[in-house]
Amino acid sequence: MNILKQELRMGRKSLIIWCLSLVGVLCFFMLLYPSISNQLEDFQKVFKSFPIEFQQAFGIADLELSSILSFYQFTLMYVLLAGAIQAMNMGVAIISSEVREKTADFLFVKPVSRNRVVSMKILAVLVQILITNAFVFTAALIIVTLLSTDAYDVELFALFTLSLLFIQIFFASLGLFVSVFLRRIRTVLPISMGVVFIFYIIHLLNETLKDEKLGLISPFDYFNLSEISKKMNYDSLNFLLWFVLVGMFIFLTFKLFARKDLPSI
Amino acid sequence: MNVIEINQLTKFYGKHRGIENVTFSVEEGEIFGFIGPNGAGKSTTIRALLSLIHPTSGSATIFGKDCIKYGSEIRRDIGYLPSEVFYYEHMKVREVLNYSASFYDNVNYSRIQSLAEIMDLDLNKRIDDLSYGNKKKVGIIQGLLHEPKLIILDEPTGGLDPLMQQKFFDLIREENEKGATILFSSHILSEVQKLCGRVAIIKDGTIVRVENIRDMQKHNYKKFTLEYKGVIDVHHFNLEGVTNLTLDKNTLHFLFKGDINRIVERLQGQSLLNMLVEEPSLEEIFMHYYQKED
Amino acid sequence: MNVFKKEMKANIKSLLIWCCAQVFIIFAGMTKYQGFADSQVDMNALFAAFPKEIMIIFGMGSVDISKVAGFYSVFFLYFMLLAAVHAVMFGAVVVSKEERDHCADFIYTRPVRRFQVISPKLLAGVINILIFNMVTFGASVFFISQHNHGDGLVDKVSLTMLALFILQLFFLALGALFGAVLKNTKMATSTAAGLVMGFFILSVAVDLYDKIAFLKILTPFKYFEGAALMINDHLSFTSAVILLIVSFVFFALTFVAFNRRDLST
Repeated sequence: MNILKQELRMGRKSLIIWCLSLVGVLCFFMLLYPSISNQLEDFQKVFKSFPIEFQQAFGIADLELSSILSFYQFTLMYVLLAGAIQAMNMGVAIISSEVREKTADFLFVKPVSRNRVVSMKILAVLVQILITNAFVFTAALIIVTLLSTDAYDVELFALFTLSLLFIQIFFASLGLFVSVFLRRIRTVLPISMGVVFIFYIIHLLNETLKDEKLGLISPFDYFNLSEISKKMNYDSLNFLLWFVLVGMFIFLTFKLFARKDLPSI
Repeated sequence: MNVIEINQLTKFYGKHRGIENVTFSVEEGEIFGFIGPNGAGKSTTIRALLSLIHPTSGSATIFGKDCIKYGSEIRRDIGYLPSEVFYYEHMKVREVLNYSASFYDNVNYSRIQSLAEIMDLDLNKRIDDLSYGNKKKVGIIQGLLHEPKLIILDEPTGGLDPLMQQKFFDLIREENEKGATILFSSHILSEVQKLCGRVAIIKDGTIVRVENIRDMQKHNYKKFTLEYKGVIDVHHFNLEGVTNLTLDKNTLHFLFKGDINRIVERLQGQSLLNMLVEEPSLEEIFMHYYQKED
Repeated sequence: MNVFKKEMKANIKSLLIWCCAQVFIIFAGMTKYQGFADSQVDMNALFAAFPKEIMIIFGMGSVDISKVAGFYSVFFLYFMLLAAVHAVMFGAVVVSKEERDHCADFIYTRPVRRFQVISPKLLAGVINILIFNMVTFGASVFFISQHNHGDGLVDKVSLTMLALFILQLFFLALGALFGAVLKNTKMATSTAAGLVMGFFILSVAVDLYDKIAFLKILTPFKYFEGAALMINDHLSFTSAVILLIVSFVFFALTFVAFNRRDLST
């Protein structure tokens, strides 16, 4: 427990900054909604006037643009992007920090096994992810409720917003794996920014291309928001893939770190 | 009983040698010196003992238990002071020490205070405001606060002023008298000489020898200084057992180990101005290990 | 020269990874293009019917992506994002890394002036972004020609790459300035990352809501348009001049700030 407490204490400041930034991004876009919601309703009418084949081809057949959720879906994408960076950052940093800050000779000579240290650190990441999600979820719920003129589908809202949790868990576990896989990490952010943006761009690319194989590469596509709104659920194959990958990353983190030589200073 | 037993311990970093077939043991209650030049493998051995690194082959046990397998259990009773100390920079000294203490059962927290007083360390300062020497003091306290049965010191005195060094040695002796076993790694022989009973000498990753420090000085080596009147034939003393043979104008120095009569034989018929036979200092014996095979 | 060589060597691996990711994205994107071109309905007519805001919400450009140039122009956004992350992180780290590694005492006590250390570091940065740019260029021309009857659109792609390079230079300078001014590498990379995210989000927002279009000037991602570069062969001269001047000022400030800097051990 002492390790968990220590990690949470050390991560407190950056957690607050991240929570505020995520909600900041959310608010920034959502506050534009009232000014463009009229436009959006006009578009809806235009769409409905299109032939049905066309609507289907573009996946807009059952689109409800007049609903605030369609705009929220768009906004959330940027929250997911930022949240992914936060999570990956935590994942990469939390174990490697002991080596980077040269405190490994302090922590790892204490009477705790490496597996226990890793478990506690993973737990600390999870707790921080949960806090972030609780914060974003509440803030989003308030904003969406305040801005919506009609009733909206709360279940869909929850599905959308919870994808942040899953995406963050994915990137955190990827980060953990990367941090034990690489021999030595000196600065965290270039790695996490780079990886997240590459995945994000593959996702953007796939928004246009709609390629199934490409969709399996980017975790942003596992929780593709437009797909979720169509199915009203997460895609089971993607969810399974998510689960397997996260499990594998965590397993390898334990496995590799137990065998790792900690460099002397 | 042996507290530490190291058996054929080998560590390679890829092709690069760390240590090779290191074997020695440390008995309960002794202060054991571990000496060797920089890069000889002292830290590698110690880091393997603490399971910070994994040996390529061989094994080591502490308190009769395998270092890697029972690492966390063993470390309950180990205090370690690394040669370079780094702690969580944004924390206060007291917080770091409390954090350290939180890993052990039944720690007497007042010991932090009393140790800090002995070492003259301000507990309310932040780690990043500390000087190197003061960080070292934090290291000493976190290594001793849980009253470990085995204390491992890796070149501990760097950065401490002579007064602090003295206090530190007193502290170590005190712990030793209370029953703690101490593994003391250093390249400074005089401090090893002052403190230790036995020493292991490591060079190029292998143990050159393990010896009782008194034996090493007294029973084995004699240091000869011969002052000549005229020309000196250096080769005259080129016999087995003679080492560190140096010539300085008309003075000859060497170390000798073996039957003293062989030297006396050689001395006959030599025209000497002066002659000195002394106990060599550990440094001089040590140089001999260093220079061999170079 | 020694500093330059060391920096080149230190960054070769990360550059390689960045280039691979970039090539993969171009490859994946252009491979899929064939599908678009073959199944071509009257895309132009369809897209003309879409209001611009909708296109943005669905992550599509406003250009005819059934033509290879139009399709490729969509990539410009991706290139900008990746190049920005790469360059800004490079700049922030390269200037501040000695202090991070606790070896500032080592390098800055040599008989050289500080700008003699910083200049080759920045030169290494320029060479790195240039290589990234060239690889992008090569991969683009190669994969475009595969799907365009052997015509790689060298002129258009060159112009696009020129715009990209100007942006890269800007981000490199921005990162370097942060590295020189802020307390440590972590602060520098964090601030740089925050700013890149901010620029990106602003660039989306100004598209979305035309009343805030004047904020365009604040985000470098809006200085060049992929479509203008690839279809109209037009590179905004004003944008280029502004970005180059700002980059130059940032570089100059980097030198000034670094000269005054108190180095930590």
